[in-house]
Amino acid sequence: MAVYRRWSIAAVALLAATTLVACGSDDGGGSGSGDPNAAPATAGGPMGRFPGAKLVLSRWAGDPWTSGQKTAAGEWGTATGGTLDLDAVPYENLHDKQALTLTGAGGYDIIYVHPSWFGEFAKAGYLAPIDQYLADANRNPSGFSADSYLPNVLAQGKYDGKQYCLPDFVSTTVLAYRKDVFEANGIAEPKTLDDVAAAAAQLNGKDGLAGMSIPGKRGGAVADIMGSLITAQGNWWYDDQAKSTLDKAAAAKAVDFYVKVAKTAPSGVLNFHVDEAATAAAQGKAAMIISTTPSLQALEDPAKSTTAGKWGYLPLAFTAGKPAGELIYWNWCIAEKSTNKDAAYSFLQWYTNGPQQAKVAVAAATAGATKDFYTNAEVAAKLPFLSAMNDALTTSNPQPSLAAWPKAQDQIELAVQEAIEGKKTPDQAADAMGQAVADALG
Amino acid sequence: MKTNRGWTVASYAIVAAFLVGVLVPIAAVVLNSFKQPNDIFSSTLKLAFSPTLDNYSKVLGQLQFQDFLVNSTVVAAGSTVLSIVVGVPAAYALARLPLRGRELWAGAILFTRMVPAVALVVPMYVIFQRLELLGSYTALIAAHTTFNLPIVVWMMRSFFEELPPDLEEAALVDGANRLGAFIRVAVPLTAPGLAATSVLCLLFSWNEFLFALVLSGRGTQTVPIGVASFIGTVSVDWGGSSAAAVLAMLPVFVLGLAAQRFLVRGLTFGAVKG
Repeated sequence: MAVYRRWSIAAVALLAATTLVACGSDDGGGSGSGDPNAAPATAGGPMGRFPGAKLVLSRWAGDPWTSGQKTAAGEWGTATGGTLDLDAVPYENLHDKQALTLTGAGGYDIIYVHPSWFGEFAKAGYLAPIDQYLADANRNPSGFSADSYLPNVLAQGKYDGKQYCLPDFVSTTVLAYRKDVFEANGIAEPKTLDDVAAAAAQLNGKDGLAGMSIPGKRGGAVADIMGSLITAQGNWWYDDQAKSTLDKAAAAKAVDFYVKVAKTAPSGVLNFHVDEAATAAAQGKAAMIISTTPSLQALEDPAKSTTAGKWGYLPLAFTAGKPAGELIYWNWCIAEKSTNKDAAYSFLQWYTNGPQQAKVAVAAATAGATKDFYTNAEVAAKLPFLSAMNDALTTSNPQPSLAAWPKAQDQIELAVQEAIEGKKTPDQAADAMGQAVADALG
Repeated sequence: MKTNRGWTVASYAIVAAFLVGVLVPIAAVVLNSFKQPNDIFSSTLKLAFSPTLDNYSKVLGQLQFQDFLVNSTVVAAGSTVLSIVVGVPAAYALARLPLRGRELWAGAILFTRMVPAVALVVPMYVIFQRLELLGSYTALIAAHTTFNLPIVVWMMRSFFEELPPDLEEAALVDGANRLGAFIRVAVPLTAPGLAATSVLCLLFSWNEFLFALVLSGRGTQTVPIGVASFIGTVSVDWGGSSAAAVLAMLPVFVLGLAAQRFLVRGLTFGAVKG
């Protein structure tokens, strides 16, 4: 990852330099032909007719998402007359491939953009604003507008006052605990993170269980959990002006909690990403897990879990009744160089809507970003963590999308790792984080 | 005598340890490809399990991994043929013809192999973009040829140099020209070396990731991209990736077995003069 990251930075810089002159006269893409205002052929179908339009979508590969989206692309094509091909590449290479393609001649119409590189792409002019599409009643189904999205999530696709993207993949970090184990040991449902740490210590080693499974590997999840832990104390990494606001005491308290529970984790926790943490919990090796909600799908899948149906879910809270979380999401954006922007918007509006998101939500353990998704009682009943997630997101901060953030994130995660290893005290780790955030944000 | 026996035992032990190190990961991949997720994730190693073809069914059905195999076959075969067609005459020329600065030319060809792939991939991206070849088989075949060609030239050059010049000179005396001597005498006599070189080219192209990632398109992605695609943002599909890895290994394994005789002869060709 690090190797590819390094080459990608050099590669994109070099490519930008070598192609700037040649591509400087590019006049951008048009909107393509077709009728973007045509009503859906069937109820709930996509807007518009785009016969002959050929679109390409860039995303990470991985099921159930890729297969689900291929199906959706086929349905959209049948309804509108266009075709939509997926260019699905490994997640670790997605940024590099997108950056290279968008810097060059283009080739993508729709791109799936992670918050950590949304700012970079928007600033570079790779993305097309969609305000006029969202505001145009003729391009949207009756009753659909920007207000149909959760406002705090939709706002993450804004840059410099312009809306660029439509979100989905809404998730956060929560606690899952083994109800049967807690009951057997006479431990009450934890109300605060202090209760969680105490329960982890008490249960660690009982019947071969670790107290807690938690990601410890640098890769984003550790920073996501840290984000939730400082949000739960009313703090955040930076303010609206991208100036560091990290409170040392809050950061130290968060690290202290992280270290306490990590000491009760299965061996090798520093190499656990979300999937390793979830697998350990699903296989009955831990009494609790703190991780991102999509990874917790493994707990309730009988094909992957020996503990399905035994889990309870709670939001993270340092103070009882004051849960918090980090808002995790992905952005669907239209490439500035696309010549099929109308058709691209038609697909994205339809795909990010509640009914389409519901089709993959249960298998993927992710939630949609439109309000109607949360009114679907049938889906909600199949997402056992949804209540905890919604509680957590009542007080939340979005996953950082500043162009400079990836560097700070890496240092934050390094500080947590060093604290777990005993190389730093929580105070020292908090200092390192504060310095990393200040350095990265300038 | 005792020393010899001890040495033999030690040799076997070293070879056995090496084989365990090499084969255990491959065996694990093969076993995982026939396991259900619960058997893969089991906290204890499960050798007794109910085998399933679900992973293969998913990989070949839903995910159409055969498309990646076809793409890799086209690219690897194309690159190998191109490298051999261009590289073998070049190697012969460097071995036999009185070229001025012959060693310099040979060194320059080898130097292109020493440039890190990451330094070449961006210029290549720009070139193929200008030529409107991005995402095509042509781009991948050409890119893979850039690193296969030096291998062909250097390997085949050494094979040609090991041939007694008398054989070609006899052909020249009998009325053949240089091209005839090359085609009718030198190439057939270095066939094992040619086979070994071809297999190496195929392997390098089959396993290449970086150029394939950057230069391929939706319809031309090769096997390494397909296998890596099982590493998702949230989880790794171990069963699917294992099945895909087995499918990726099989053609190369079969090719290796089929060419084993040539490989051994080719790689030891000219090792002993006499």
